[in-house]
Amino acid sequence: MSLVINIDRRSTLSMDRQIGNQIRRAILNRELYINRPLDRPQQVASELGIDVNEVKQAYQTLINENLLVLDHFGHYKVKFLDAPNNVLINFTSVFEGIRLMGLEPSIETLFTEVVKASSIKNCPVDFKSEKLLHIHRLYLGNDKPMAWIDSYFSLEVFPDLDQKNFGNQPSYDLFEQIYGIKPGQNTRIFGAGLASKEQAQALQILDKAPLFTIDLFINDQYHRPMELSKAFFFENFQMEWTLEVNQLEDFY
Amino acid sequence: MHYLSIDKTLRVPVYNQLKQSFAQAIQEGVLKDGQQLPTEEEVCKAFDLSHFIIRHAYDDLAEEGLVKRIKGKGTFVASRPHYVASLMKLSALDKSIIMRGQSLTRNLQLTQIIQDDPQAYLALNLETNDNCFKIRSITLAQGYPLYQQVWYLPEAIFPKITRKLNSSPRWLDSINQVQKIQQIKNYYTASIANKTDAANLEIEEDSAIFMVRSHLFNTQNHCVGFVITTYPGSTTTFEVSL
Repeated sequence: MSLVINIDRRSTLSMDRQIGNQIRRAILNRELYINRPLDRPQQVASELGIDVNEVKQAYQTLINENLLVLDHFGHYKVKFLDAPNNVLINFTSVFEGIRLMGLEPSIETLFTEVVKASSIKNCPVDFKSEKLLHIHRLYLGNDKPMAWIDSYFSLEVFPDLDQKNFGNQPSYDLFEQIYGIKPGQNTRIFGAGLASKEQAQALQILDKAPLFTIDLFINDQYHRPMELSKAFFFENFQMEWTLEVNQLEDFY
Repeated sequence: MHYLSIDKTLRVPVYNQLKQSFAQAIQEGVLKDGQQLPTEEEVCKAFDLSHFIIRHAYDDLAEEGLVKRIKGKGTFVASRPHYVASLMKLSALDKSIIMRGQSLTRNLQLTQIIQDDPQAYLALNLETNDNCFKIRSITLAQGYPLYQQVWYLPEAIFPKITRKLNSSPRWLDSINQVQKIQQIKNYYTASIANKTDAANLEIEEDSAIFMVRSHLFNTQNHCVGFVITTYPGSTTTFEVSL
């Protein structure tokens, strides 16, 4: 761990609170990223010359706050992911969003199929394309599953898309290269849900863990409906939106 | 069934048209809380549709929380409304409810002085034993909890703030009179309801909640206020259109 922990023995704050605060701040300030292992409590205690239970207590508090996880090998790792301001609110692909979070993005396509628009639940009325390509993908950051995304793409806007080798590349790159189509006006609906068994398994999280959900309705640059997606982001995902002084009316 | 509109010449699936018609009627108050929807048989006959299509539409509406299906009795408008809020304009939800003529009330539930809280004290840069007001309120729309808020305000900065809050419809205005707020950082996340959240929001324990943590910064860029707002995940979503 590159984080240097300092303690002030004259402080009114207990040792475990001082240690916990420094790690918490480092995680929230994006100095420590997800999956980053922390030094073992014994090592930290030895370096600081304090009781190992103080460090264990600090780590346990952070586990309780869902910022850390103790894995099967006894390693304490960062569990929390903080999306930079405006990522996923402003138009950024999930792939780019993961990169902006400081992680190496990759995609795993689970399956593709052609379906009728009428078979989709919550299909918006203006999505007139009769046939859609359903693509189910996992988005990973540093090889850890981050998002489960179910996408439906219009085969009117993207003829023969089902015949193309979609592979594991980002969809918007492919659309621009082959069809000259770019995403345009779009609506995103954010919410909170609980992981199904299947989602929990794919995202390597607990069954019924909280999931950050995003429904996306995307038109292309010619205002044609091109994509309907539902994304489920793993627990401990946080998104930021800042209100400046001239926007305070927008607060409660 | 005057609120239902089906055009079989359109390429839009009939089940979708049916669903949209019901959803619109519920949102516009044409169909009232607790009111029974027509039976599958009635809709079948009126529009010459198959049972499957109507069942499919009703199932979707139930999944979205707009209706509830009671075995042997029928399908009813769910008494708890679903709200779509603006992610960027958090105040817009309250305003839209008031504009629709619906009731919106804030109940001050708990005011106390605390001397520790790991999350709030870190945000506010307070030390253990520093005094901080912790004020919890529940905002109700049409009699159902819309959201719960917990405000953390250091006593050293806001010594008599509770009196001001009690007489102010908008708490940020009262805070601004003491400390000019320059910037608010909001952090959105999904979480699960603990016992207190569940009781206050009238939802099941361990169900999904949408949480907004707000850090209020003054002109010196010091965080002087910390607010946690929680919404029931099942009845509130947040929209952004770009």
